[in-house]
Order: sequence, then structure tokens, then C-alpha cells
Amino acid sequence: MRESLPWSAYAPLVPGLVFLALFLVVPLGATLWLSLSPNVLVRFEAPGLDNFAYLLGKAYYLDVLMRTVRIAAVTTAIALLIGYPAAYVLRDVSERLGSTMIIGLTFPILAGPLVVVLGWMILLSDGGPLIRPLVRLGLTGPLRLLGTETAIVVGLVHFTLPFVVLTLFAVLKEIPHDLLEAARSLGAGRIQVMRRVVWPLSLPGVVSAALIAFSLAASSYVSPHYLGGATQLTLTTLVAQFILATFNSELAAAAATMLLVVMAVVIFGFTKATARAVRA
Amino acid sequence: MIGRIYLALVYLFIVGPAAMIVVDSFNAATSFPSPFESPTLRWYLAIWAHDEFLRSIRTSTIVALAAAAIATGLALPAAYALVRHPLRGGNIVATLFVGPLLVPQIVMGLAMLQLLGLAGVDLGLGGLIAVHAVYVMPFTVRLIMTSLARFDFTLAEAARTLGAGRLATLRRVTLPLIRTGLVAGFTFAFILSFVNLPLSLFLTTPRTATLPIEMFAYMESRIDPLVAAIGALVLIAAVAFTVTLERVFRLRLAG
Amino acid sequence: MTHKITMTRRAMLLGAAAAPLIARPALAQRATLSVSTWGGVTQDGIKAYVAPEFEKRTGATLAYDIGGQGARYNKLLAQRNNPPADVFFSTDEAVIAGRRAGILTSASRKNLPNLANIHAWAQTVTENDGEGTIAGAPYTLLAYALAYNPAVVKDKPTSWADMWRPEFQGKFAFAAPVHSQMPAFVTLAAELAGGSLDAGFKKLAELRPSKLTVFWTDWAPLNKSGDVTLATEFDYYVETMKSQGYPIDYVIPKEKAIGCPEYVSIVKGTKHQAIAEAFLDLMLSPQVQTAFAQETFQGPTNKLVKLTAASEARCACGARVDQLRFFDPKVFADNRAVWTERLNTEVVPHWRAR
Repeated sequence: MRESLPWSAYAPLVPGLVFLALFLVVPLGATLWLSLSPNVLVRFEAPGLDNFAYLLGKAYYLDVLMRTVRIAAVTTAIALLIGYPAAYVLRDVSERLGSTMIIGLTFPILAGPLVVVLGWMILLSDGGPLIRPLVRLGLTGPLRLLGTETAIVVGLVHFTLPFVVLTLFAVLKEIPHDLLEAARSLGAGRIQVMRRVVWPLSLPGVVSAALIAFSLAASSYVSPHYLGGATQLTLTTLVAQFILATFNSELAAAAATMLLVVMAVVIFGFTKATARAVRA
Repeated sequence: MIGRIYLALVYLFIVGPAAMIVVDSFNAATSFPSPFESPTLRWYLAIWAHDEFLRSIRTSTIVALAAAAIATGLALPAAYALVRHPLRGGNIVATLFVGPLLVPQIVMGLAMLQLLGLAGVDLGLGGLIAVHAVYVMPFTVRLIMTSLARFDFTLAEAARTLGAGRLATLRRVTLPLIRTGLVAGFTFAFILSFVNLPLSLFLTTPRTATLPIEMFAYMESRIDPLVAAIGALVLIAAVAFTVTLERVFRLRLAG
Repeated sequence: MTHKITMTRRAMLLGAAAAPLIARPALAQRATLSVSTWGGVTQDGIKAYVAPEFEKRTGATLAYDIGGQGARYNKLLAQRNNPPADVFFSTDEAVIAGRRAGILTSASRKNLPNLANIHAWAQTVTENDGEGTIAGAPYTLLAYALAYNPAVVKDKPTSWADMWRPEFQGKFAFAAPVHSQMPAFVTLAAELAGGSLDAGFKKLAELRPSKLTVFWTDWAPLNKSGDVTLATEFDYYVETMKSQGYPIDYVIPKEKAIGCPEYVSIVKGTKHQAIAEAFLDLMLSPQVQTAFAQETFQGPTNKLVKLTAASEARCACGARVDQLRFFDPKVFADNRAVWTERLNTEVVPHWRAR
């Protein structure tokens, strides 16, 4: 059957792939080329890797790189911790209510990150409805969240959580109720059912949810820009600063390439590292 | 019970910030963010005095419509090919189609800016639409594939045996049955493109500024609840779209 | 008689109905001048006090591209062949950089009659490409000064050196390395530290700003919440904030505040050189500058502008001009790339380490 498929079966794929090649791969090629080119700050004979050596050699840029990875990793962990139980509870919600709740999850995605981040700017401000009551009750001293890494993480957890819940829910609801019943009737306690049955079966979902959360967090621009600030640059806001403020197209290209490489390494590494656990 | 309470808290967290925007859009205070002072409609009325917002809503609509149309048009044949036959390398191709999800949007915009720069081509609607189409393509491919996966291809074969032509079968049998996927793919593509900021950040000109770009520029020079009012309108429109989709087409987002 | 009048009226009605059809080609040719400027008070000021007179004089309309100077400058760079704007609002330094990058061009002196009454101190850009030309129109003078929260700060600042006062560390909103006025602080810090540039960078590294700003909107919410008690900011933005109810005021430091002449210049490759020059001249006119000073707190550069005492107290003009220090924008343009990079890599890491 497989061998006998005519080439025409592949033809419908061509327009889409050509489009992606022309408008994604070719432009990325331009960026890669520029990242190897000299500029006003780093002078060398093109093509060369000097821009990367320069960025990795300065504590400031290394900080930006580490911050990007750290923020994305912390976001991923928190989003999974919050999202897993939520997705698990969601599967026991009645069909009708459940589908409405699923739709509800997409609201922040569809409203767009800009609208949502505006909401966070209100919520995280000192005089805002979240912090002021805490300060009034004396639960905390004056708290400054806007412009800190914490604020970025809060914004990103919020941004990635719907994706995480949707992904986990899709996997968790495939686990048959009968299976859990059976395990319980064989004398397994709640925790044991969770640990021995649900968790292993949901592992592929956890891995893909983690990958989605990490990529979304590492590539987000809006949250770091509005909730962070000039001292909390990430690779995305650094790229924007190179283009919009210091007009260094080559270093922007190098920073963008670094972001792509970091994401590729983490995604590949994580998939490899978890491959065995998922299969078993 | 504890589970339900937990779920409610998670939803409060998810919906809270957007709800804040709606509340603040009625706030009479002129500085932002401010505690709620008194209710007013002045920010909504003020939108009409800013022709740059009205113009950018038109631009965003054009860009989003074009991007969604291109993405859906390219995704439909691709999704069909991927679902219809077990293609050799089908998994790899399917991965290629969701590839754009792994490229940060700001990098996509940068790459297009730099390509156009190297080629000596001016920024215009074309580059902007192309980047938006690339970005939304994975969503359209996925949604159409999901709906095709539920499609019974023997129906189409039956129609052909009964003498219907290729086109007639497509038009009369296949398309109506996968309409949900098409409509959902197109609508999501439209909304995601409409609200996107980073893709357009480097690519707009005064003539092609999208709504998020105008909001971004506005917020650089002043902050008052006017942007909250626009945000609230976008939010309400997006929610109305989705709920309609769900009601009319019984759309299911998770499998 | 009556009959005749009716006929005439009918003809007039017909004429009126047909007019839009006939007039259409003419309307389509009506030029639009694209203005690249800051949003907020500057754009509002142009809309209210420049646009009506401009349309009356030239028959052309105005369109706007608003945003930060850097983002707008980048658009000119990215689109040299088909410039997205005709006139460009910027600092004097950006006029020099833009001319070097080949994205800005000169205006003809003879088409800017108001230039005759512009103060010499405003004309900080001296480059031009010919006898009768000028690089741009310095339409306003701003003061970059020290803003503080009078409700919280008992001992109000009097000197740039007060930025280092312990009470402000962690409560201080400071110009980001990419801010237009940052090179002035590199210079000021070098002087405070005894002269050398290296010592200046070290001195700046001792600061502990809690927020780096490019626009006043970056730190205004923190002023409101009490998190920022000291900030470096333009006088007209502080005045704008004051009128919006923020707890803020500003002082001119004893070493003098930073004098910032702001320019509007012509984008190279514009198809509307003549009306662009008309726009520049209007920006230099006493009428426009009076309105800008009274309503948006931007100091006039035209000698003929007469302000009320109340308005004079709220903008950079009159005796206050002597309290401003004018830096050479050429030095800033020459050194910006390297200084910004040194700030980012040698100074900012210290600001973060607390």
C-alpha cells in the first residue's frame, strides 16, 4: 500500500511547504547571514562567528541569555504544577460544562497577550486590587512586582497555562475511567492509582505540555517588555532593543539566532532525556 | 469538592487579568493604573476621536483576513493529503507544518525585515501578510486535520461511484462535512493574526500600522484607560466569535 | 422672474450634486504630508495648533506616524527608497545621525522666513549641505531635569549629585542606556568623578536605579504607587504628569539642567519638499510656539513669542534658558554606539547586582 502511492498523493503538500520555505526559511537564512557579518561594535572579516563570541563574552549578554532560559524553565515548572491538577479535575466535569470551560480557557489566548498584560499591569501595581489589600492587612510590606523577574514569570505562567491545560486535558481524558475503577477495586489507594496508573499514562502529555510551555515562554515578547523592563531584558526584548534603539541589525540577528539555538537545544535535549521514561 | 474549588481558582487566575481590563475601561481616573474612581464611558467615546485606531482596525482586518485566507487555502490540501493516505514521511511533513510554532514571532518579523532589507525591497502589506500567514498556518493545519480525521472518506468514494465528478464530490460531500474544521481554522487564524503584536513590530509603516502596533505606540506616549477600552472591545469580539463558533458548529477544541 | 430664479436654483442644485463628481480628481491629488512624531502631547499639539493653519496654507492634509524616536528612526532606515514619512521629529543628535545615515535632508532657508527670529542657542545642528540650506527646524527647547515626589521627599534635590543620595537608591527612575539624553549623563558623571570617561562610568555604576526609562509612561505608575521618588525626566512631561494628578515636581540642578532643542527635519526622498518646508516654517512661527508653550509646556525658540508669567514659569524659556547647559550633539552622535554598549556591559550589570 505504502509503496504504491503515486506522487500525486504528495502534490497537495507542495504549495504549503513552498510557502513556508519562501517566507520562513529564506528570511531566516537572511538573519543567519547577517549574524555572521561585522558591524559598528564588532569588526571582523565576514563571515565569522565573532558576534556570537562577543555576546557570549560579555556578562551583560550572558545574563540576558541565562535569564531567558531561567524564566522559561521556572514558568514551565509552575505552569505544569498548576495545570496538571486542573486538567485532571476538568476531566470529571460534565460534558456540557466541560466544553464551555475548555472554550473559556482560550479567552486569554484569543484576546491577545497585549490586552492580558495590561490587566496584569493593573493587578501587579502596588496600588492595585491584588497587593493593596495584602499591604493593608499587614500581610506584606510594600511590594514592588512590576519591573521584576517575578512579574515576568507571573505573566508568562498565565500566558502558557491555557496551552498546558488543553494539552494535558487531551491526554488525561483518554485514560478510561474503567481502568481507574479496576485499579481501585484491586485495592490501590488514591495516591497509588495516581502514581502507578494516571501519571505514567499521562507522561507523553506532560512532555509535550512542557515543551509547549518552554517554547512559548522563551519566545514571548509582550510579557518581558511590559512587566519586566530595561534591567530585565530577555533575548526577545534584546532583539527589539538592537533594532529599535541601537540600530544594530547584525547583533539583533546574532541574538535571534542564539534564541533559536537555545530553544532547539532545550527541546531536543528534553525530548531525548524523557524519551525513555515516556516509552516505559 | 476540593477539586472544584481548585479549578475555580485556576479559572479566576486565567480570566482575572482580562476582567480587570474590562473594569478599568470604565474607570474615570486619568492616570494608569489607578484605583477605581467613578464609572465613565468617556474612554469608549474617545476611541472615535482617534482616527489612527479606526484606520489600524481596518489594516488589522485586511491583514488578518488575507493571512487567514492564505493559511486556510494552503492548509486544506496539505491536511487532506496528510490524513487521506498514510504518507511515507507523513509525520515529518506534519511536523514541518507546525514548525512555525517553534520560531519566536519576533524572530519571524526580524527575519522578514532583514530579508527585505538585503533584497532592497520596501516594507509593505505583502511582507506583513506573509509573516502572519506563516504564523497561523500550524493552527489551520491542525484544526483541519482534526476535523478531517473524523471524516468518513468512504462517503466521498460512494459519491464518486454514484457518478459524481471530482469537483462535485469535493463541493457537495467533502467540504460540507469538514466545514467545521475550515471555519474554525479560518476564524482562529483571523483572531490570532488580529491580536498579534511581535510579528508586526518591525514590519509596519505608518500606512500599514496594525491595531496592536497603534496600541503599543499609544502606550509609549501616555497611559490612560483608553487602551483598556480598546482592549475590552477586542476581548468581547474575540469571545463572541468563539462562543458563536462553539454554539453553531459544535466545535471541539480538545480532540 | 420667478421662473428664472427657479431655473437658477435648479441649476445650482444640479451643480452642487455634480460637484463632488467633478471635484474628485482634484481631491485625489490633494497631498498628504506624513508626520513622524511622538504620540501624546506633541501629536495632540500638532493636531490642534498646526494642522488647521497648515491645511489652509498648503491645501494639503496631515497624517501621523507616532512612536518613540528609535522606532520611527528605524522605519526610515528600513525604507530609504520609499520613505514612510515626509517630516521627522527628533533630538538634535538624531538629526546629525540621520544626515550621516542618508535618511534626512536639508530645507531651504529662504522658505523658512521664521528662521530669522529663532534664538541662536536653539540652532545646535550646524551641518548643512549648501549656502542657503539648514538641517532642520529647532521648534522647541526642553529641559531634562530631576523630578521628585514632593509628598515623600523632604529634602528636595538640588544637584545632579543627589542622584547618588542613599535615600533614592532603589527608588530612582533613571534614563535607560538607549535614552536620548544618556550621553549627557556619561559626560556629567565623568565631570562629577573628576574628569575621565572611565571614572564617569564607574560613578554611574554606583547608582541603584529601580527602573530604567525611555518614556515617562515607563515610570509614571511607579511614581503613583510611591515606588519611585526621584527620576530624570523632561520638564514638559513632568508638567503633563502634574496636570494629571501625579505627585511629582521637578528642580533644575545647580550644575544646570540639560538643554534639549528638539528638531523637525525633512526626510530624504520626500515627494513633498515644498509643503514639508511650509510645515517646518509653521513649527517655527510665534503662533504655533505660543500655543505649544501654553498648552503643552514646550519652550519656544522664536524670539517673538510672548508668554504670560504663569506659562513662562512652566516651560524652558526666558531666564531659565541660562540655567540650561547645551551639549554638542555631534559628540553624542559620534560616541553613542560605543557609550551605550559600555553602559550596557559595564554599568547595567552593577545596577542589577543588589
